[in-house]
Amino acid sequence: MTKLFKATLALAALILLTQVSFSFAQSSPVLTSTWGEYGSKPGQFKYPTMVVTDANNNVYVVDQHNQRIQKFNSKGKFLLMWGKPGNSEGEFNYPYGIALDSKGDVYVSDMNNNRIQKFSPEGEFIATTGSYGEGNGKLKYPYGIAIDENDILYVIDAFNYRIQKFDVNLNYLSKWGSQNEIGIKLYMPHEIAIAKEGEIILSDRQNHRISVFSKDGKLIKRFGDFGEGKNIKGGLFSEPHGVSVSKNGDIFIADRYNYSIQQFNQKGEFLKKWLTTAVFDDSKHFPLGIAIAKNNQLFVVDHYAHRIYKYRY
Amino acid sequence: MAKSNLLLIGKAVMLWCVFCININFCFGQDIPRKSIMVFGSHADDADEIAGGTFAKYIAMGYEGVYVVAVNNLDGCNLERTPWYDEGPNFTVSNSPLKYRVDALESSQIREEEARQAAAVYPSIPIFLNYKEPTFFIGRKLVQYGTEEYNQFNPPGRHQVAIATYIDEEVDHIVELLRKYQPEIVITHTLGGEKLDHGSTGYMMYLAFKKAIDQNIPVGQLWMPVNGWLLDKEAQYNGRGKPDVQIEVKNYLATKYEALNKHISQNGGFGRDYVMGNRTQPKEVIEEFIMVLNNPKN
Repeated sequence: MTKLFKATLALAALILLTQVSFSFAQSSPVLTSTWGEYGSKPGQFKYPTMVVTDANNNVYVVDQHNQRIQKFNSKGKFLLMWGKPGNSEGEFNYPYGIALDSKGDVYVSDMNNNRIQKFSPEGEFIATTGSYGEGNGKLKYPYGIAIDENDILYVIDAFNYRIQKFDVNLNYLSKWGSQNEIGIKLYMPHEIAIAKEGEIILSDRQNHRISVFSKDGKLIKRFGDFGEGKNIKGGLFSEPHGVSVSKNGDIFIADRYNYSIQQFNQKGEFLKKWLTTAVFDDSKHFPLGIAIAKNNQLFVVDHYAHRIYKYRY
Repeated sequence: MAKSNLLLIGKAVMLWCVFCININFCFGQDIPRKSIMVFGSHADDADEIAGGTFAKYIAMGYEGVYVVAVNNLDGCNLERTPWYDEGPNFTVSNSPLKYRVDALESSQIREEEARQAAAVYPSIPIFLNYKEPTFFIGRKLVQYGTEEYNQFNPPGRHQVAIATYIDEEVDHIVELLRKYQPEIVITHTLGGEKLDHGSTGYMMYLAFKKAIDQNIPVGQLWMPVNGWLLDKEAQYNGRGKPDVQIEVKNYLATKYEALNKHISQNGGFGRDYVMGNRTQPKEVIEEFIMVLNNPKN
């Protein structure tokens, strides 16, 4: 009887432990490393924005107020950097978004120069396109950019209220969206990502939700609503910014004023969320850019803390 | 005989053509299009202080030069609601939700609005990027002189109040006057208004005097009389009476169209640029003090 009781107790404990462990794994990705601080030396940042990873899990960070791009290995070891303030080739005026094509070449939205610049993985200038204006290929403050599996570059042309498409040689291809389509409640989206099935995911910051479009701009679905606070339920946002998609199609969102990352499945169903720094803080942190890498690794840019966080999820 | 006559006629025609081309070239060089410059401090100031007059002169054939002196890092805090203390909030669509604007976005938004306003007249927009004294990053107020503050401001730029003490900065404005040779420049009143406004007016005042000294064919410098009316000392000294009155009844629609391009400034309490049945424009006459008149003209 005692043995049976003990065995039952042990079994119950095992089940409980398994469940706790499972819940923990569900709700708490592990922060495996972090690097960066305020400054201008290699490995330091001033208001970094977006992040992207290559096939080898190297990490490219847009170091916005230093007007440069920095490249690290997956452990945060500094590899190289390029860029300085200006408007000549290879110079930047508040760069914002970053994306890689299938060859590993690097594309940067040079926001206040109203152009896109293309570089080799070593930071050598290759090409540029765009200038201030409204015509095809012209830009007004490009924000987030993304490249799909066919090497088509999508650019959020923020103040023209549209998405423009370019090939990898930076030739203009097409566009969708206009100011008159604000009625569909998409205003000044900030970040963009390509879904597993090739749709375009935009963080619709002002409306506190995520919008999914076909490649030619037809609205497919939306999810999310406004909600702010430490204990709000998943699926509510306060100014969602960075978006990234994992290999299995899960969507990760940097939720700015909830200081957290939220994870959804392909259908837009909430899976889990976590605070980026384990504290709910209203001034020192701003999770902005986010990038999924191989082996369940995830990198988050903290725009205000001038740091990169690396998680295993 | 007939052949030499033909040659003579041919030469005469050639000479006439060369003469005409030269005359045309000379006219093109010596008599540029007349221009009017409104030298505003912030993104919507040009429209506010002289939008009707600006529109009227442009309609008369003048080239319009629309200057925004300050880089508007602050200023999208339009919804001065109970949430105001949290920092700037900004709504431009029909969304009822608050939208917090960072300094950089605020600058982009206001520059874009100013470009659209300048296009209404139409005119040439010029941005001088003088620094703001303070601004917000998210919910955080950033003060002049801090490292964060410096991050958002172009290298080498100053607050306009400080720039008035720096010869190179004044010379930069002199070069602007040399380029456009405006017959009329309208700027803020000296003193009596916000610091940036008065300093912007003073900057132009210094540059205008220097331009006259350098024989740049500028015309007159005007400042709005309503600014002087705010200044007790100016009134005491009798400077509250206008030298110039411009009837702008037919140009108020243009002025208001331009003002309404500054969407980020429209929704707050105490501001209403709407021209329609609900609110009728009152200022059918814009009045100015002629502060400087180039004696060399």
